[in-house]
Amino acid sequence: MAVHSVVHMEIPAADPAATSKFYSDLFGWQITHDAQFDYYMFQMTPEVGGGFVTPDSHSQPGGVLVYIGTDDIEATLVRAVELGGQVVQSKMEIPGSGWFGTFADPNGYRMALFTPMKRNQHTGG
Amino acid sequence: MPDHAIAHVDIPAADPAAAGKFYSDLFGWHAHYDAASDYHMFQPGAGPGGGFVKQEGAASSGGVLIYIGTHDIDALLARAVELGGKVVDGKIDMGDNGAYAVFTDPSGNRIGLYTGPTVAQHAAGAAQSPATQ
Repeated sequence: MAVHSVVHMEIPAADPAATSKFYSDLFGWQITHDAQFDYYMFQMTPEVGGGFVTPDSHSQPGGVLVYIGTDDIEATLVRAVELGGQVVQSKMEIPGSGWFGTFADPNGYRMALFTPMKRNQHTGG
Repeated sequence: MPDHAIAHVDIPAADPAAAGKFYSDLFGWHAHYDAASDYHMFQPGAGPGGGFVKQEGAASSGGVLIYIGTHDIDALLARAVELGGKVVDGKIDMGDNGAYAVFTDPSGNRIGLYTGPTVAQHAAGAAQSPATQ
């Protein structure tokens, strides 16, 4: 995880269910639906997958959002700002899943950071 | 390269060299420059790598482009159209660097397809390249 590789991505879709079928039919990606979050997810390989998000959520219109794995989202966001980027979404918990944050790189392109949650781990409170 | 997994990621940049430095400084990605194609590339410690492409137009148009690995670009492009997608760039042969194509999905997202050089050579019936271990 600390190698900062691509771990997840989100593909904007006006109709996530229909879009998941498109990609499943085209690439044979395995699709699952998380009823709790009403989130259609795909798995490309055992290591990398993603989900389909409606364009009005935290996705960027017209583009895929790539998630880079990191052990420390806050430190990475601080470093991104030092290097000329801007924080779009500060660290936020995804219950039962992990944490994410997003930043815009110096050209304005959005990138996301992700830290997975271990079993029974949460931020407390 | 597993079939239909991410093979490559292109990140648009007004200044590809500066963008390469930004991501290398931030994530520790290994950066290298391919002079032959004037292409600044990155490779994380694991998983797919990619490159920084000169952005066309405003930063809001487009975004990061992921390339899905495949052994048969033509067949997948045809299938994408059957399923409601549109071809943006038909298959483009890059010689020793393989081949690629781009389509939009029914929501209008651009998705790339990529065939590595080894696969392309096999498909063309050329001499075997060094085996991928």
